[in-house]
Order: sequence, then C-alpha cells, then structure tokens
Amino acid sequence: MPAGLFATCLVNIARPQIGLAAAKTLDLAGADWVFPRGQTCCGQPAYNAGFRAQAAAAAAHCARVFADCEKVVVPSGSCCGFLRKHAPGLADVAGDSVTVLAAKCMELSEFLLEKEFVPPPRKTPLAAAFHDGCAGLRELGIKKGPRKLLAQAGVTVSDIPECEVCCGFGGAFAEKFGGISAALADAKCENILAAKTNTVLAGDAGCILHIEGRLSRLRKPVQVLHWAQALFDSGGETNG
Amino acid sequence: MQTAPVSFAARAKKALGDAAMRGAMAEVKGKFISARAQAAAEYGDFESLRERGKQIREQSINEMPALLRQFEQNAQAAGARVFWAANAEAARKITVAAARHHNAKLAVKSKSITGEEIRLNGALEKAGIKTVETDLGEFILQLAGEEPFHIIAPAMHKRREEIAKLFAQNNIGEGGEDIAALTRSARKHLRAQFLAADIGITGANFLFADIGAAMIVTNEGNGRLAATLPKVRITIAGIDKIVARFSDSADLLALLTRSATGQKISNYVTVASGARNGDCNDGSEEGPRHHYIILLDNGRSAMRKSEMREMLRCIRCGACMNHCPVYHAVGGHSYGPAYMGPMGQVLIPALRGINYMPDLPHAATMCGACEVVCPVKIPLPGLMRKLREKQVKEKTRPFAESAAVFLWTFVCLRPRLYNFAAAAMAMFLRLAGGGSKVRRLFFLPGWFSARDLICPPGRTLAQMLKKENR
Repeated sequence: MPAGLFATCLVNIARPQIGLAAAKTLDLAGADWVFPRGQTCCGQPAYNAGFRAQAAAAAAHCARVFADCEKVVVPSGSCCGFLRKHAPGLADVAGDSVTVLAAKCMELSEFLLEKEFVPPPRKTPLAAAFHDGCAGLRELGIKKGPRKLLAQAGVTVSDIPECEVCCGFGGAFAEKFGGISAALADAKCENILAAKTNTVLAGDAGCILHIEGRLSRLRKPVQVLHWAQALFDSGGETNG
Repeated sequence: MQTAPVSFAARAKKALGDAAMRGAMAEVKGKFISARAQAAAEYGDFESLRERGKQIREQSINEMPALLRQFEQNAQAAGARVFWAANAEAARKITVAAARHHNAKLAVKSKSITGEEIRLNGALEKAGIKTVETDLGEFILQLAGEEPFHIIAPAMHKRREEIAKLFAQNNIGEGGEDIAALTRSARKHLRAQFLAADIGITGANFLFADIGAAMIVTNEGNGRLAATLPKVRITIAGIDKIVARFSDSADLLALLTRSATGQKISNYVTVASGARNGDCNDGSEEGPRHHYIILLDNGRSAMRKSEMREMLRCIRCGACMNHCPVYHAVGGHSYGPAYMGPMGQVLIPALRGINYMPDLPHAATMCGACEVVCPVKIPLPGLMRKLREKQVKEKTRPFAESAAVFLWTFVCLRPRLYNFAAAAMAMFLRLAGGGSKVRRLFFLPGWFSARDLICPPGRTLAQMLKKENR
C-alpha cells in the first residue's frame, strides 16, 4: 500500500509551495505515494472550538479518504498532532476508523527519517534560524528530525531565542483575540530580529503564515519557510 | 450562575495598553522559567516525581469525603474547631462571627488565595475589623487597592518606584527607592501589626488528614507569625487541599517549590494543628488559644463529580502562568478574581459557572506549555477544550461561530465542493493581494488588524499536483 500525502487546508490554499516541497522529498526518498483527491480538512478547527460532533465527522471522512494508504504523511505538526493524539478520543462518535488513522499518521520529518532519506546537498548556502511549532514539539516530540535533515542538506541551522515559545497563532485564536495574538507574535519577531537571520524555518503553515504576516506588517525583510522548502535551492517548487 | 461585569477580551485589551506592566513582565518572565528548569534538572527524575504528585492528589480527590472527616476528627482532638462552609458567604460569616466572638479589632492575614476567592477582606472591614495583609506583595497591593496579579508573586508587576511612592503616601519608612530599605520599612511596620493583632488569618497549602494539621509555605515567615502570635487563629482552606498522609508532604513540597520558584524548599514551612489549651503547663504563653479551621466547598464538591475533576489536583504553584505566553502578554488582572493564567481559565469557570466569563476558556493558543510543566499533570488545554464543548452543548456560543463551523463541516464532507471552494479562495486571495500581500479582508478583522497575508500563488496544491499527473 502506498503512503498518502495529506496537504492540510492552509498548505492547500495559502501555501501550496510547502506541499510541492514535501512531494519532492517523497519522490527523492523513493516513497510510493499518492495524493488522495477526496481529502479535505482533518477537523481540528471544529475540535478546538468545542464542536466535537463536527470534528468527529471531519476526522472520520479523513479516515475514509486515507483508508487505502499504509501511512499518512502530514507536513504540519498541528494537523498531524490532532489526528494522532486527539482524534482517537472522538472514536465514540467517529467510530474506530479514526483510531486506525491515528496509528498511520506521520509528520513529514518522521516519515523521511524512517525511510532513511538523506537530502542531496544544496548548491547555494543557506543560514536559517528555527522556530519549533507547539503541536509538533509537545504533542509529537518533533525537535531534532527537521534539524538533522536540514544539516544534511547543508543548511546552517540555529535556534531563534525562545524557539519553543508559541508564536501566538493558535488557529481561531489569532482571529478571536487578534490583539493578544499580535503581542505574542511581537515577542516572537523580537527574538527573530535578535537572531539576526534572513530566514526563519518552521514546520507548520499556521506558524509560518502568522510569523511572516506579522513581520510583513512590521516591514521586516525576513522570509519564513517550511523546513522542507529549505532543503532545496529552489524552495522545492521546481525540479531544478 | 453569575455573570462577570467585563469580558476577558476587554480586560486584556486594556492590559495590552499598559506599557509599564508589559515592560515589567518582559523583564521578569524568563526568571521563573529558568529557575524551574534548573530546579527540575537538578532534582534528577522530575518526571517520575510529577507522576507521584499526580497519584497523591488523585487519592485526595477519590477519598475526599472520608479524608476530610478524618482531618476534622484529628484537628478537633488537637484543640481546633472545624467549620464547614458550603459557599463564600458562609465562610465570610463564620470568619466574622469568630472574630466578633473574640472582640477582635485588628486581624493580620498571611497570603491566602482562598481568602481572595471569598472576598474576605471586604467582609471583615465591613464588620469593623481592620485587616492587614502581611505578605510583602499583598501588603503593597492592599496599599494600592489592587487585586493579586500572580498566584504566588502577587505584586510582580509593581516596580520599585511605584512601591516607594505608595510607601511614602502611607507614611511607611523614610522614603527612598532602595529595595532593601523598602523591605525593612515594611517589615518594621508589619511587625507592630503582628504584635497588636487580635486574630491571625492564614490559608493552607495542604491539610493532612492523618495528623489533622495544616501546612503553610512562605518565604517571608509572615505565615508563621500570623499563625502563632495572635491569640486567635483562623485557617481558611478549600476542601481540595486535603492530603491523606503527612508522609507525602516531602514529595509534594519538592514539587511545589521547584515548580513555583525553583527553590529546593521555601524559607519557611509551617505545620500546625489545634490550639494551645488550658492544660499546657510548660509556662509558655506562646501560640494561639483558639484555632478555627474553615473548610470551604464553594463549588468544589460539584467539580469533583464533573469533567473538571482533575483540576482539583492543583497545588497552586503558578508554573502554568509562569510558562503561559498569553499570561505574559496580558498579565494577571485580565482574568477573573483570585485565579489567573491557565489554572484560572479552568478553575474560574469550574467554580463560578461556564457563563461567568464565557471567553475565558477560549483565550488560549493551546500551545501546551502549561501542561508539560504542571507538577500534578493537569491537562489544562484539554480541560479548556471541555469547557468549550460544554458551551457548545449548552448553545451559548455566538451564532456566527456555530454557523461557520456547520458550514465548514458541510463543505469538508463534500470533497468536490471543498476543492471548488478551496480553489476559489486561493484565487480570491491572489487577487485580493494583487500579487504581493493582502492587507485587509472584511471577514477576518482580527487577523488583519496586525498581520498581512503574503499573496498565495492562486492555485491550490490539489490543482498543482493534478497538473503533474498525480
């Protein structure tokens, strides 16, 4: 059975470049993979808003879509964290399929490391500073994996100060509590500027759009990429 | 069910504009974090200790009624009188009645969050009993007329200049902004209060059922003075403070002080039971003649039978707020009375009802920093989510939010519709951003109040991969 790539909503709509980079790593890793067309949202937004039945329905749909996949590869710590750690708790409504799905879900770096993937070295040098997304870090224990892959690709990776502190995104939180969320983002931006870097790397489109959006509003010329994009000179968007 | 006068969002908005507070927080926040991290590392297997703490506190909750009866028996046998207060009003009445019975005019109080919860000071003042807070931080706040900002460091947001001004206005000390001199002035002032006080009021960190004694932990020694100098002592404690065995105190203390301030142990740990009765023939005059212990329920029994049960494990160390980025941004006055930070976001709705401050359990990014440092492993984000689920079940969420979730779910269960909507949204964002960035969108005012959206390519990943024949 092939592995299934789960785009996640934010990547699909707002940052497909991350998905292209992830796809490229899967190809280079020699993985047998598919992109199931029926995929939609994992259900996390409804879950965190307290709408348990709706979250269960979305998670069960996700389980159906990936039923024929051996693994589900997710380039996002929070969507993967939801499916793996929280969705099984919805089995009373969603049925056992969500428990089966949970066991199959892997964050991209976990899958690549299991495949013993070694990225080819970049041609152009890149120095970047890492921000650890909360869900990936605390729900899945993602920390060293992406850094290892980046180092193998020749990226010089440092940590931004307080790299494990939340950037303030929190899904609907950023909309419901825009001011508080911005205050958290400001603390993050200060640390990024203190790191004196041109490139920030993270593992979640949520954090990426949020940090980059605040930096842009503050007119700070720092780019924010998914770590998978940084593995390639072209950001993974072309075959170059 | 009570309704709060102001929402969390409104309070937080005001706090975000308080430059002095935010400056103080930026300076202090890292200190608690590094102190706790170092203390946990030095201890060794702190994770096992957390598990042990969880087990001790689970036993407290499981056997709570029996343990409380055991505590009552042992405390009464030692000479204390135990009262049961079903709610805040009952606890206030018992306290005032006890004070009046002894013709008390002056009460000294060591820091008690339970006292804050039941708004005790106001009731005492109203009854004509002057009440003096003796924890330095609480004393400063009493002068300033403010509520605690932090559960163990109530005046952490106050700068020395402000404190010097408060002292000068109240004729305490000889002026100046030297911290050591200010502390000495407060000490001198408070020492006189301790000696003159008719009653001493304390809280309790733990109540040990097997010895019928209360433990208080302080760094200033004011708890011990308040508990031992006046002839009448009143202890007010929530029933959740019960612990089965005194022999568990070592593990609990090791967790509490390391999690709170990073100390191996607090400067003072006071364990006291009963009262000095007439039979003491050691010639000493020391110690209270009367000890009233008030066991406060105020919603805790109901919590024990609810989904919020695990919150009763809390030992009030403050680690959750010390590690909370939202608390760091908005400070302790944005939350409800007495309790703040993640523990407050769960405890306040659990005690006062889900509609008291309805946005409180929503004011979290769910980053999980609180849960991983909680010494008794309370799943704080999970409990906040359960509170949100309860609001949904009780249909108290705004219509727009429910409508958005229902619509979103409807679309998510129909892949062709989803793909169409996603493609339309991707194109819309592309056009709205004019190729560079989106600066404003009417349906996301919160986001665009402070952030841009870098223009997406305009096609979804699904569309792009289709082109490559996936």
